[in-house]
Amino acid sequence: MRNLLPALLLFLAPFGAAATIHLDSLSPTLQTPLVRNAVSKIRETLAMPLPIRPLEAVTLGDNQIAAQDIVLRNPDMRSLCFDSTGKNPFRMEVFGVMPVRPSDYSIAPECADGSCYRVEIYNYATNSTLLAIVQLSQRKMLRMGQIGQTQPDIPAHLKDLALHIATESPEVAEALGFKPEKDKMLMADTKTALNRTRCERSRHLCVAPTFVKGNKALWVIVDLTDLKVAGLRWTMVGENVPTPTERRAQNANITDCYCKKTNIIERDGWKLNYLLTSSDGMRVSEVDYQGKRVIKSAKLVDWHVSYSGTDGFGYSDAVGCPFFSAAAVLAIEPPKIYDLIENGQKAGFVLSQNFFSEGWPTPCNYNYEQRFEFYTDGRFRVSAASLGRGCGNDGTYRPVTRIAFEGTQNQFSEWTGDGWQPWQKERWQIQNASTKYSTKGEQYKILDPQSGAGFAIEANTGQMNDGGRGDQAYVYVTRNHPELDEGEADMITIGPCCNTDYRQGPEKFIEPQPENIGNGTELVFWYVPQLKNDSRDGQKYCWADAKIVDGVYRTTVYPCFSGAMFVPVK
Amino acid sequence: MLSLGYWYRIGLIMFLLGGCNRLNLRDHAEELPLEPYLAELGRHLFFETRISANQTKSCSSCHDPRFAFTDTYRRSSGLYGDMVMHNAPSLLNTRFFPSLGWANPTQHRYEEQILVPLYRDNPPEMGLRSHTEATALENSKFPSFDTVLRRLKSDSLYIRLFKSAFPSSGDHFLSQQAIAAIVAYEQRLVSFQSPYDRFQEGDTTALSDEAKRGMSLFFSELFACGQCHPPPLFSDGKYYNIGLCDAAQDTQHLGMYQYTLNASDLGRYRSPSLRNVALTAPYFHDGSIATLSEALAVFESGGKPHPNKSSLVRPFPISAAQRYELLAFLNTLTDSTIFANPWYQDPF
Repeated sequence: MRNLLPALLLFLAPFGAAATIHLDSLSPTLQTPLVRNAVSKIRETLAMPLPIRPLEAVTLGDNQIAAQDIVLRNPDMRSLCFDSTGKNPFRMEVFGVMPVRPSDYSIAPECADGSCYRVEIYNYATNSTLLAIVQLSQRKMLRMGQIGQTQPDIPAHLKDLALHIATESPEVAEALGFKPEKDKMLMADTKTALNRTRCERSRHLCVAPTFVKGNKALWVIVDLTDLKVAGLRWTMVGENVPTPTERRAQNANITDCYCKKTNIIERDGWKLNYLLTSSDGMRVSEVDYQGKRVIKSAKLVDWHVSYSGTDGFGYSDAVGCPFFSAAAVLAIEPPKIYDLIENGQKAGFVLSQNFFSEGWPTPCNYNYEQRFEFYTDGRFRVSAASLGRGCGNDGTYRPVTRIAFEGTQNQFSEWTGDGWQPWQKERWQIQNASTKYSTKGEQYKILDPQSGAGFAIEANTGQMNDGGRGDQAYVYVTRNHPELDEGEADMITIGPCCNTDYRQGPEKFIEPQPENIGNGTELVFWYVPQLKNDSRDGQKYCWADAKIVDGVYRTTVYPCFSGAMFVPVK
Repeated sequence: MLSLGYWYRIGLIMFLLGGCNRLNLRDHAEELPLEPYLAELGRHLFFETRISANQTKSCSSCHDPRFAFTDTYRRSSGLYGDMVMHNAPSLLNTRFFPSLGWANPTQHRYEEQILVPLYRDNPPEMGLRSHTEATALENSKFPSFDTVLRRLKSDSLYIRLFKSAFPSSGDHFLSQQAIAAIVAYEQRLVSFQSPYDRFQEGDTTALSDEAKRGMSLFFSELFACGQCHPPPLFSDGKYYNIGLCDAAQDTQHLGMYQYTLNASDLGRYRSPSLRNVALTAPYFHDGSIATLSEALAVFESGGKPHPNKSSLVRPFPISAAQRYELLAFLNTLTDSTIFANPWYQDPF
């Protein structure tokens, strides 16, 4: 039938059908009322003068409705909704309307009074996100920018639609041997990819509701652009032990105390601000050591979790606040601050934040730890760990960390074995078996050549005494552009889940024309370790399971901590 | 210290004994019968997911050209997620090996080897039933290759490709034809254009000084890497127990024993080619070693005790500088032309 369709359409054309045949027009295979209704809404929206589907008012508060309304009524919006001819509308949809957080103030300082909202609109045609900041008190849009190859967190109605498609599609029931229940499917709102499908090739918006069956997980890759199942894949999730879940009650204070408000720590020679972002984990900013600013900000942008190098599927997780968030892995408990012990002695302090999905440590649930270590001697480390268990036992975690350094004249150099070689342009590099380290274990330096002050960067090769086995990290150095949306404010997911090469997201701020950084400038250091999980006895890593202790099952965790050490040079 | 020329002569003798009549394997590869239509059909089938029962797996799922025809898994995953017995070996240059796969010394022909992933059900890889089984189990959920052929026949692309490859067969697609085509494709997967090869051809700039020192170490009497991994394949194709696992783990690492039932073959696996080794992590038959440095450490330590352990594997002292040099040399075995060669790319 597939091959007959074009011929049939050609036959019909002389009788009044459109002369152009769009073989790939939206035609979901699943024809349920919910899917048909979704298609109708898409077509209705495309016929509107401003073809952007808003979030339905019943799902929003008054301020959110007002913010969305301000953006959609802005006269500049229309030009962004059509192709270059001005005739063909793009399919666009509001995905989120949320209060502007302190982490966004850097791009919208007018919002410090708390009167602003952030509106995220996804463009399915260009796979880009339109980000608008509106000020309710002035009823105006302060700024708007489009970020290519990015996908915001999906709204609840799309998660429901994905679950519906996953549970109703006959191929899913055939694969499982029964029709799955919606509430048994996990990670339904987490973005994914799949090689050789439009999720990968056309950058469609895809999510992966996942069903655990015994010691396996069935991944239902749902293409929300085409409203159909793009593919099914199985993974092994490890030995099926009756693992107790570690459900925790959401701490009521997190939103008010750590998401809406910036906190300050001052101890051990350090002073810094910290807050929980919507989707970039814990963010520290304005970090001073001995009264001197050293870091502008540091945060955890994405978690890329890949379960197949060849098929290219997995999750692109965002971690952040439970407040106005669609992320599946959330901050449940407040951040912790505690003494840092090194060689049995107090050596500084740790600021840590845990992100947790409620079924952890059962399969297809996640637990991440973000840890900032500040040493009294001026060293610091930005660390990220997976505590398992995840949705496969042969996957790779790639957390994307962004550190913006203080200073406008910084230069970046790498150790070549013979000496320090400055980087002249923005670029990336991978840490591998051939990487050279100085006798002190240093791989890079970031320095202001005038003052000679800065940091040497010691690669993590498994020497950090935290169980980490080394990072095999991708490093990217970019010029900081606070005026552009390159990560100073809260970032939406910047990279796909499952690229196995340097394309983890930060490269989009380098390519196609890397800027010159050789003469000294404001630098951003991106760090993407590659942590391969393991469920084998004696080798468990990025893993969690249960063991019988005192006659009952207790959770055992095998974290994989990552992160380089920054050592002050002067 | 044995010279590089010595190892090349050893390689030459090995291949002369093995029936090859040319030293230069690249030239030899070009001597394959010119059957472009057959191999082109094979290339499409190699990357075709409809060839598996649930249409999710192709040959390239475990042998992806981006990873020198391996898959990055410790052990490859079948169509239902089950892990197969071994790490996926690279398919490059396999036509020059006396046997195929990690442990079966009797498996010489591609036509035999390919039946393993197609029809094996413990665990299933592609999930097909052989023709005999399918006839016996008519209601089996595992389809036969005939089902695959019916899928392909509904696609005009394959009608054209099969007709070009088998012009006298009319509209009949046969499983033997499909297998012959995949074999024709696999036989053309060759890789002899690494910096090391350029160096051998006279380009003295192809290797850094560090890599040249590493090459000397590789072929030195002390390290003796070249003894089991001699050029030009960087494998002698023989089977060794390298002490990766101790005897207590024998049940999980049977090696050749699985096929010979000879206790002295327990834990013996074929020496893999080191060509493109930087692209083929994780390492060894079980993929248990994540990085090249760690793989080197296995040999530095002399391996774990095992009654079958080869006497060639013994601890050796190595400095940090020598380790870099050795790794630098191993990196020169990477043939990056495989990424640019359209013949190796997914046609879909």
